[in-house]
Amino acid sequence: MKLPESILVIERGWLSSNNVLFFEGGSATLVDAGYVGHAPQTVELVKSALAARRASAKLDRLINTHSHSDHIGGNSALQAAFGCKIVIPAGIERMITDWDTRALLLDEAKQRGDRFAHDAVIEADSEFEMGGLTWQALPAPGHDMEALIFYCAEKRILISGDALWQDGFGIIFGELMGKKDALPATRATLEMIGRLGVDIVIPGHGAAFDDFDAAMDRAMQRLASFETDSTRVGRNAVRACFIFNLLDMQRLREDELAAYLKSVLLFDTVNQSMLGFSDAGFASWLLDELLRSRSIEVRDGWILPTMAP
Amino acid sequence: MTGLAGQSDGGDPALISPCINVCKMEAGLCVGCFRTLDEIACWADAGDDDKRLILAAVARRKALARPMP
Repeated sequence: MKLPESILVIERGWLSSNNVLFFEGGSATLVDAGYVGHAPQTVELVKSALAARRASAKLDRLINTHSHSDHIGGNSALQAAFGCKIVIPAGIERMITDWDTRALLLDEAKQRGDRFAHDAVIEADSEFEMGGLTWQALPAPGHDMEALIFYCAEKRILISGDALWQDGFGIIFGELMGKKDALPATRATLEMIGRLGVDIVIPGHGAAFDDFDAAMDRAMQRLASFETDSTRVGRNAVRACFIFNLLDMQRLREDELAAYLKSVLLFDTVNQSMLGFSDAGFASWLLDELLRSRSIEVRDGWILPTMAP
Repeated sequence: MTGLAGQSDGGDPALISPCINVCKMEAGLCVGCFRTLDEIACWADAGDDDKRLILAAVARRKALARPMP
């Protein structure tokens, strides 16, 4: 698998989204900015990657695929460091302008963000140039109802954000909030992606991949399992969002888990509306699940992510 | 936001990214994964041989930073 010379994927773990750099002569565009806690390193990584190019490029533009904290967290720091223009999907303009921390899920999921001012929007179904290539901005509702994905028909490359990963796709938040259109939208989006001719996917998390058909099959299977039993969306969301927050906090007291879960609106809502555990039962279910999948360990009364130092 | 899928880097499955989501630089190295900026930025594009070299350097730096008790 070979990406065009004008594209560089910067991939870290999964708390931060990938940062994808596109070089166009003396200037560059970045797609997605990572999590706010990693922003100083993101700035340094982009600086280093720009300087490594022959004609030391300047970052002119930062484009977001969607509104979540692990994709927009570095926006403010990158803009301050490079003076780049920030371009966001048109559908999230109001929540960004108003810095609606509930719509941005920052309050709901107890995540952090750094307010920024955008300079322009991309409309769904419009075209733009990036890295010397033409990209279509396609609407990809599901994980985020206002998300865009970027498709280059000439090179058959898809920048999929969190609408499609090598193994699955991002949490379907709308379903958790009781929005009945989120699962059908996810299906329609995956079917639309399936009709594109794609050789390489650059996802929002994880390495770029070229087993597109197999990834589509996995995503469709996961979606079918969610459609059969929508409480699976809730269980998946609690597991994934808790690990996300744990990576941000780095550790949490085991005896504080139940109170912590209660304090995060998203977790409490999912439990109340879908799972129906007692507070203590919810904590012990989650602990068991994450120990079984080896996503955490418990040491001296602390819950640690298994990737912890 | 992501699911619980592990990171897959293609190629040799032993060559998984050393990133532990700490992602903070100190004295030229990431506090979490002991890589330089260049090593982090080029990881996704690196071949198996380069990844092996980076992981070996990471192991050396880790041993220096945290001597066994």
